[in-house]
Amino acid sequence: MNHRMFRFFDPKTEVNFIRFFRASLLIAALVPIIAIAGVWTTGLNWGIDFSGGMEMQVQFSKPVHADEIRKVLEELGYGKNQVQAYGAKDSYEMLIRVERMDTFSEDDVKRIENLLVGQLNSASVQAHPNSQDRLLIRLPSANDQKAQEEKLTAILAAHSGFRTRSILHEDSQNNWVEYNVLFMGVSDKVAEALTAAFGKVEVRRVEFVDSQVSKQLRTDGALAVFYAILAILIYIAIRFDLFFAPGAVVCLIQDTFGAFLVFVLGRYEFDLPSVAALLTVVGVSINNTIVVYDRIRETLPPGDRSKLAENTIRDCVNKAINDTMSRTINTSLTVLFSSISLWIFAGGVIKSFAAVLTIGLGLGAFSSTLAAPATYLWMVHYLGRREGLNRDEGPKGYTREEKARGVV
Amino acid sequence: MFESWKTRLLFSGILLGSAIYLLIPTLVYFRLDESQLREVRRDKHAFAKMLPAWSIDTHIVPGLDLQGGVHMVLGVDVEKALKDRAARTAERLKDYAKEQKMAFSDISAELLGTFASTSERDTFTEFVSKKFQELRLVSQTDAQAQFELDPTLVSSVRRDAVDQTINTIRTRIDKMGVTEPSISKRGSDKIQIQLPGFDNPEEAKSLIGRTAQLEFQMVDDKTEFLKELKDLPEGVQMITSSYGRPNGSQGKDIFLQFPEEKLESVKSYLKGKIPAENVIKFGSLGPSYLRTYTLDRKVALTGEELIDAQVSQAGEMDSRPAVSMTFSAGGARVFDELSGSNIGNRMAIVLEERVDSAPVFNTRIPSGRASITLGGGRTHEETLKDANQLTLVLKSGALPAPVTFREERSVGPSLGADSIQKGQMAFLVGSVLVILLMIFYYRISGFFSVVAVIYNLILMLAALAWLGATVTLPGIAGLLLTFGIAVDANVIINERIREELRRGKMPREAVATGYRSAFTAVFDSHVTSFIAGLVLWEFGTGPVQNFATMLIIGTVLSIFTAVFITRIFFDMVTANNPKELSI
Repeated sequence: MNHRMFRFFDPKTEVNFIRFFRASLLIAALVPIIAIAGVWTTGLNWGIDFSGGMEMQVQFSKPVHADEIRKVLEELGYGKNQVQAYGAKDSYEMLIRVERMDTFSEDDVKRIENLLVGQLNSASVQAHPNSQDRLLIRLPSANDQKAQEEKLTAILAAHSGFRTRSILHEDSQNNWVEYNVLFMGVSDKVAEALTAAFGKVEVRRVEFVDSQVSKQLRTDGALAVFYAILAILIYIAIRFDLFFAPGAVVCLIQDTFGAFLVFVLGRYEFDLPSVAALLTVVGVSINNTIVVYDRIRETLPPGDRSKLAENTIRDCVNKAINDTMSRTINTSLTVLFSSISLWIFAGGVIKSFAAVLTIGLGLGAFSSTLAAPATYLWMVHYLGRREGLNRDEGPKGYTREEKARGVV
Repeated sequence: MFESWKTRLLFSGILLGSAIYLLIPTLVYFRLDESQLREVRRDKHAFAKMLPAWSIDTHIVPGLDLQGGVHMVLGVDVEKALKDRAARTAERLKDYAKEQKMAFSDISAELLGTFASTSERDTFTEFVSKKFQELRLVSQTDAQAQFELDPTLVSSVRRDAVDQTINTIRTRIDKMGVTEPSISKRGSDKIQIQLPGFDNPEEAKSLIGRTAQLEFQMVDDKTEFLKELKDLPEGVQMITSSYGRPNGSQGKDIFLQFPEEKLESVKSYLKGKIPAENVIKFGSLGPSYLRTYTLDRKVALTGEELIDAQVSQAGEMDSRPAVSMTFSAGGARVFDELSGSNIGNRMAIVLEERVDSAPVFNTRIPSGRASITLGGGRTHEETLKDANQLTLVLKSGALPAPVTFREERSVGPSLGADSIQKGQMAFLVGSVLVILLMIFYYRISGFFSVVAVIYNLILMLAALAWLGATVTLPGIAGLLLTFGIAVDANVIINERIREELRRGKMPREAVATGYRSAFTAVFDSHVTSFIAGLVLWEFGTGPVQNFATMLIIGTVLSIFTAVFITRIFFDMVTANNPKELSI
């Protein structure tokens, strides 16, 4: 029988992986701490999905320095801004984020009300902002509504200090008429100012998220991830047993924070699609954990597990890791091939996604092969109330046939 | 039946055939050039015409981040809608009380009535409880009575404000000529709008805020020019029917009826045949038929003049649902004249150039408040449904509640094209590397795995095409994850078979044992991803939900291909019980 097989890892070697268990648990504890420290110090680059505000992706026709853009934004009154280069070097793309304020301050509204009272010789004018760049203006009824609308348009264009886009007759009653006035939006203003300063620009993407919505997206996103992780753990607890589940938790915590750490270090924007990246990392890692767990369960002698000696359990765990090592290496390689090629070739959003995937998967492979079974052993040791675990003693594996012959 | 690998191969071949059949529209869609794409976006039926007759017409829809477009979320201010409603009711109450010679000092917009005496107050509250079903008395002092809107009415306004807004916005967007717009409710008071291929959010915003075009035009029942027409196009029928007038006589109703797709040919057929004083507009007749209405060219009134429309009851003694309309002062004058000179004739309610219905004038209506009684012969529920529907049509001229823009996202078309182009390259390089690794490592068995994974991908895309699913960038991440899980399942199985071979088993037995022992790990890893997908789909929004969709569909298909498809190949090569297996 000659099976010529290519392999990265020879299962006959029986490496003692137990030796790395302590280190793996230390890493599993350190990663979240470092990640939290990172978020604390440098901060996470929250995308507008979660922070609210306005973001524009602008392509210039020539290289433009971020500081020059900041100056233009400040002149427009957007002091709180972020400008960063984006995408490929030669595309001259910039990501501009400003905290989008209401176009109308209280004073502006008052000013416009007074202006209209003066110009239309009418007693009552009510204006109230309706979203960032609209005003609802309520005027007394006029005999000729068309003329009134034209007059209003002319006055606003001439004296309001804001550029109007459109005026719509919204509603009318016996004694008043309501107009909905749409003014130039923030993105229009910024685009105009940038064109004036740097020549032709192409606005490739504009996103605005209201702070109320971003708050909701934050909670929704966090809840979705939390529930998903909870559901996975419940399933593992049912399929395996409670001794196994905590290992999966340790893994999940380490991988989630590990992915966060990549966001912090890479200064990548953390937005809704990033949640998908995070979940992909967690998904692959939990998948690994399950394969290893499944193997441990299979390697353990049949019958009542509570009666097993701790040494036996430890040997079985070690053997299971050895047996699945080929598969772990292989699978990790295939996934890494894809994510690294994305990292190199793709641009923009996908680039950050691929970076998170690559590093997260690397970390995940370690946590699921070492930290998860380590936690399992720890649970067995402390909660299984067993004695006689010596970490430095070499492992002793049993083949299925030996088990069948009753060696164990 | 599935004992023999040949049967299973045939089955998977049939499945692959169906998958390719489902993918035809998607392949056609993704190969459209710029001008064809514009055509498809403009006309709902254009895409179906580009396909062979025997093909389905659902296809994978690229998300806004891939094809460009506008995404908005609007918040609906229901509270303001209620305040306005109360103010209007106060106005109506004032008018009606004056008409009925009831004594009162004032009724404020907040529905607080002020009276000269307690007895005056009592007569008035009595009158309100009889005549104004929608009001409730909350509290009273000696000279004041505070009313409020009926709680059931309030809750229906709360419920309907968002739906009405959605309807209104849909009407307006249909006019913009954006196809495949998606307008949906998000939460209890938000509306999500997606306009693929539209790249000017500011323009979209002003269009959405515009007033819809609602017109009232008289139906011309005297002209009989339709009767003179010869050689009607195929599938077009001339119908002569009648309607009841208030004095008991019958009005004639002559019209053409035809299936919806004939609209263009009917329009071109009628060109030049319509008398100068008339205009022909169309209305629907059942789900897929249209009919003509011959109308006076003059538009008598527009939706601008209509202040309010509500479902009410037909009369004091008649509990049938009806629709009551309130016109502005100017509108009331026109309506008075129109109704006076047209008793027994029909007035068409035309929304965005489509005739919604044509009720008959029964009496002269001087007050600017008209009530439309709906045709009889139906159950109360059906009539109520129609009344609600008509109310929506009438109110579509104005947004029922003020809206604020909570989220606006617009992606230019070039950006998505860039992402796709760069993504394609990355995807290609990644896939080729994975394929090479699998074949180098597992030899022929690796090749089987690759075939199975590609098969899996084709099934996955076919499923998405069949559902007409949207694919966004996060969705592609979900696709990659399931792709990874599928490859992993193959690796697990192959490793298991190798192990059994190392133990000295013959290939055939090794395959059987390998599959059996690998199954639990493969099954568990698929199920956890599937569960995660379900939970994310339930609780996530937008991008996260799209990611979850891919996960759900992907895991279901991947478990099938991992244990079923590859097994066919293994059974095929071990059919004659060979001594060696290339793995």
